[in-house]
Parts: sequence; structure tokens; C-alpha cells
Amino acid sequence: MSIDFKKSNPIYVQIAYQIHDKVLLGEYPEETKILSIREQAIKFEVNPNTVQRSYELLQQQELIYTKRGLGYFISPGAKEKIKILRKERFIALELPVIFKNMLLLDMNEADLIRYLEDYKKTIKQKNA
Amino acid sequence: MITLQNFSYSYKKERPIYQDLDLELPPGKVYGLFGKNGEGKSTLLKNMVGLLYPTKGVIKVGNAIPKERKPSFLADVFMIPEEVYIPSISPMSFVRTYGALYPKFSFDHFCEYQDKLDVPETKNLKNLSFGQQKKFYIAFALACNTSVVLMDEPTNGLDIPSKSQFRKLIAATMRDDKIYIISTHQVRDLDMLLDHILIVNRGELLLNSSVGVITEQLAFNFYPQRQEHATVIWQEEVVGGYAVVEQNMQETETPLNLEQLFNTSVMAPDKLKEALLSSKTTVL
Amino acid sequence: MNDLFNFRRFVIALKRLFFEKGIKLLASLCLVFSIIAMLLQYIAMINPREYSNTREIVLAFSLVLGPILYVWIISDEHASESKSIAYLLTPFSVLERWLLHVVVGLSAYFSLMISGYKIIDIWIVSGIHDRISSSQTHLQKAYVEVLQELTAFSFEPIFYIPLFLGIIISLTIYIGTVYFKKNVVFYSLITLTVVFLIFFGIHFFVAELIFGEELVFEPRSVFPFGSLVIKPQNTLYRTYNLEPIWTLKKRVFIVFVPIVAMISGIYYRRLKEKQL
Repeated sequence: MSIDFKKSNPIYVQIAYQIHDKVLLGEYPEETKILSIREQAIKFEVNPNTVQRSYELLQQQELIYTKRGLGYFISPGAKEKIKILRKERFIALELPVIFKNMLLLDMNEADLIRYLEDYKKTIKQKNA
Repeated sequence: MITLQNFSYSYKKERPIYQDLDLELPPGKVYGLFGKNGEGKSTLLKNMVGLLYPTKGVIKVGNAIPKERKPSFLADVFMIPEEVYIPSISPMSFVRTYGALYPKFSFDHFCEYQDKLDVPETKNLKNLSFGQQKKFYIAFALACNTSVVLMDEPTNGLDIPSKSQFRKLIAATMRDDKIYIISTHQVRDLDMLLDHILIVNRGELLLNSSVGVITEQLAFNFYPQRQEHATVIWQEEVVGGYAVVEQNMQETETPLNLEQLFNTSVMAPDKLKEALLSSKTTVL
Repeated sequence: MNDLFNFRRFVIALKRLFFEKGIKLLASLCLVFSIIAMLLQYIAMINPREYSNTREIVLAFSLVLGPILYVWIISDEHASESKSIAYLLTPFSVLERWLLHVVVGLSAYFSLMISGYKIIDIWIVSGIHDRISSSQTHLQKAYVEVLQELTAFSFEPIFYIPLFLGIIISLTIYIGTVYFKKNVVFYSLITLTVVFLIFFGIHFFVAELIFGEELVFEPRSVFPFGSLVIKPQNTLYRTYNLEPIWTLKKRVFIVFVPIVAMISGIYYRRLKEKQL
């Protein structure tokens, strides 16, 4: 499997984000052992040193930890921490883009709420 | 460690390919060697493995001098040329005969790699196509587990799934005590595997820098309009706007774009060197 | 690991030669043998009287020209760049490569060649013998002498010359494969011929310096270390054959052994210094 690395983040960040996603989606519950650096490198066809950097980033964010000789594990409370991190990022980077477009297109808060409600409905229908 | 001191090479005396090149390549890295056709990529690799002798200067691979071609040196390096030569014998005789010459050769690894690269079974290696022979050779080369592996256009002739498997094998077999040097002009095939970029042009080493330093110091961006500020190192018009290489002023990094980097190194070598030298972190 | 010579590696080098070129080498030997057998059998059937002379010529030729194909097959490692890379980077030492080609390769050829020749010779001689004994007795008597000669045949000193020439040609082709990519045999033999002609020329030139007008230009006078034909000025018709003081055998060894040593030494150096 190989991922689309064309977004504007460096590869090591993208790999870290992919692990974020897996935690958020519940694929990686707390205390699960994740792939070793080499396994991950083989999976994504990247240099092991790149994955090393991703894991360092994840450790810095206190989302994973090492058990000596056993490998890397998802930290307790990782999901909540990721949500906070992602929220910060969303507010800092993605919301301003949305707001800028809203102003350009003369849209107001009410429009936004309406579209949000519509979106929630379609999600519910999909899940049903 | 591969070291080149004062390395010069010329086929003909009046036109040197390399002149007084100093280079140090520590182990544990995958090096990408880039350059236009005929600019001496293969020449450099051939010198490192003792197939050509430096006209001046010294090359050392570990403690060995490649041009002596001592068996102990040859048993610890492997070169995969762009076009491989395989004798017309059975795969088993090949693996048993040649494998016995490499002390770290692993038959199990060979079978595994051969399987992954999807080399078909055959009674005689001459029945394999060019690409299949190359895959067989790559599987054998990596199974020899030599400290140095030099690859000249390894993905040429490989089909799409094999290219992906090849990348996986490189990631799987790379170790801290090994040096992989991959020479290629297929920038998109291998860019995510590389630790370190070497760019040669007209016998000059235009770039010798780790990917970490490059992405820290340079930003590869796309803008709809031409950029005029001082931090721009090189820009070129592409579909829908301008691909710009500029000094990285942000905390965050952009992904490495090898094609842009290569063009920058050829078109604006001095500006590029300057930008990379301002790096606060050590180059290696 | 011993970088000069390692027995295990040498065995692998032998194995490699056997696997990759065994069949071709065998075929080249068979080709030489069948040519010898056909020629000899032909003469034995047509004109048995000439047999003992012919077989000597055939033996001489098969010693000189026989190894060409065989040696080319062994040393054909540089025909393309990728082939040359594969060969040069295979972890063998120069000494191992040299020993395999020069010592093992050549001694295998010449011993197989001479013993094969012997077998063919015995087979043909016994054929002649059978035919004679079944025919008239007066013919039998006439052939007794020839037959004795045939059965007593051994590898005489006269064959050292073609043997050494064969070795020199083989070594030249070995060296040629290091220099030339294509038409190796052709270019090597041309080079060798030129070198020989130069030696012949020097020999004749020196002889003429010494004897001047008295030297007779004929084939015998041209061969270095051979005899000279002289026609002293005070005689009208007689010519004299000046023989060297050493015996043929002695001359052959004094002349050829250093040449062979030198050429095989050059081959070692070329192997060591071979670049793409």
C-alpha cells in the first residue's frame, strides 16, 4: 500500500497524520502495538529514517510510547490529545480559508449552520 | 564510509569529467545520485567499485582501495549496472556458485526477495526477459547483504508493481552499517527512499546535502503568480502557475520536490548553495 | 580472507567455468578432434604410405591452431560492458583468474588434445594394420617399417615448437580479450603476426649485417634461432647450411620459455589493471 503524498506536508508529517487518523477511527485503540519503524517503512515504501522522524513527532505529541524491546504502543488518552491537536490545526489553518471564502461569496452564519445540518443528515442516512 | 579525496577522472586528458572532488559518504544512508545523461553518474559509481581508476586522488571504501579489486573488497560490495549480464545457466547454479562467494549471502533472503519481485521460475536464466533478469539480479544482489550496494538506474526496465516491491526491499534491507547509492534520472521512482541527495553536473558536485537539511532550508511551493521576493532561489512556469523554490522561512516543512531541486541546482547552483549553507544544523 | 589465493574460491571459479562454459569448451574440443580424425582417416584410406608424414603435420597444426576457439571461449569475459562488469566484480583474485585461464585452461587443453590425438592415431593405425594383414603378404612386408614407426610414435622434441607456438597464440588471445571487445581472435592474431614478422625481420637484418652478400634469402634463413644458408663468395654454386651450436630441444626451451613467461606475465598485469 502506498499513500498519496502530494499534499503540502512533508512525508514524515503525513505518516504521523495517518496514524492520527487510525486512532481517531478506532483502528488503533489505546495500548495497541503499532508497526515497527521498518515495517512501516516497507508499507509506505519510504526510508526508515523518515518513519523514525514520524515516530519521534508522535512521541513528542505524547501519542505513542516505547516499551523497551517490545516496540511502539498507543499512549492512554491518545485519541483525546489528537482531537485537541487536530482542532487547533483546524481552527488555525482550515477555518480561516472557509471564512475567507464565505466573505467572498456573501455567505453568513445561518448558511453555515444550514449546510452543517444537511451534512449531519446525509451522514445519518449513510450509516442507517 | 566511502571517501573521495582530490578525486579527478577523465577519459581523455583534455576533458576531465571530475576534478578535485572531495566527498565523504557515511554509512546508514540511502544516497540518491542525480545528473543529466552522460554527466558522469555511472563514472563515479564505477570508480567507487574499482572498475575505473581515478586519474588523480584517492577513493576509499571502508579501508579498501577499490582499484586493487581485492576479493575481500569485492565480496562486500555489489554493483547493479543499468544493463545486467546474466550467464545462461539455471537460477540454482547461479545462486549456489555466486552466492558462495559472498560471506553474508542468505539463500532464504534470496528466495524471499525473488518471490516479492515476482521473478518467474525458469530452467535457464537466458529465458527471462531483460526486466525479469534485472529483478533476479536485484534479488541476488540484496541477498548478498554487502555493506555497499551501488545501483545504476535500478528501476529502468522494471514494471510498475516491481518498482513498488523494489522500494519495499530497499526499505527492508537498509541497515545502519550499509551504504546504498542509487543513481537515477527517474526522480519520481525513488524520491521517498532517499536520505541524502548528490547532484552532479559537468563533473561538479552541485549538491551534497541530506534531505533533512534540504527540507528545513528550502520550501517547494506553488503559486499562481510569479514571485519577486528575495528569498526565491529559482522558479519556473508550470501548468497553472509557478513552481518556486525559496528559502524556508516557516517553522513547518514542505515535501521535497526532487525535480524542482534538480532544476534549481543546475540553473541557480550558487544561490542554492548559499541557501543551504545558512543551515544552523550540521550538514551530515 | 586471503586476497591472493584461496583454495575454496578457486574451486568456485572452476565450478563457474564448468557451469557457464563447460558445454561450449567440450564442443570446441570435439570440433578439433573430429577435424583431426577426418583428415587422418582420409589420408589412411587414400594413401596409407603418406600417413606417418601427414599425421605429424596434422598434429603440428592442431597444436598451433587447435586452441584458438577453446581459449577464446574461456577468456570471453569482456565482450560487452555489462559482461565485463560482472566478471571484474566477481570476488576472485587476479592470481585465481590467471591460474584458471593460463595454467588450468591451457594444460587441460594440451593434455586432452595430445591424449585425444593419441587415441585417434591408435585407432587409425590399427585400421591400417587390419587392412594390411588381410591383404597380400608382399604389401605387408612393405608396410612393416612404416608400422614400426607408427607404433613407436611418441611426442618428439620436434613438436615442442608447435606446442609452444600454440601456447603463445593462446596467451595472445587471452591478452587480446582484455584489449579488444569484438573480433578478439582476429585482432590478436594480426598483432601476433606483426610481432613475429618484426622478429623475423630483425633476425634477417642482423644476419645480413654479418654475412652481407653471402647470405642466401630463403625460408630457412628467416627463422630466428634457426639455420642460415650461406653462399661464400669464393664458391660458385655451393651453398652451406650454418647450424646453431645448440640442439633443437635446447634452443626451443631457451627461446620459448622466456617468451611464454613474459607473455603470461603481461596477461597477469593486464588482468590486474583492466578497466572498463
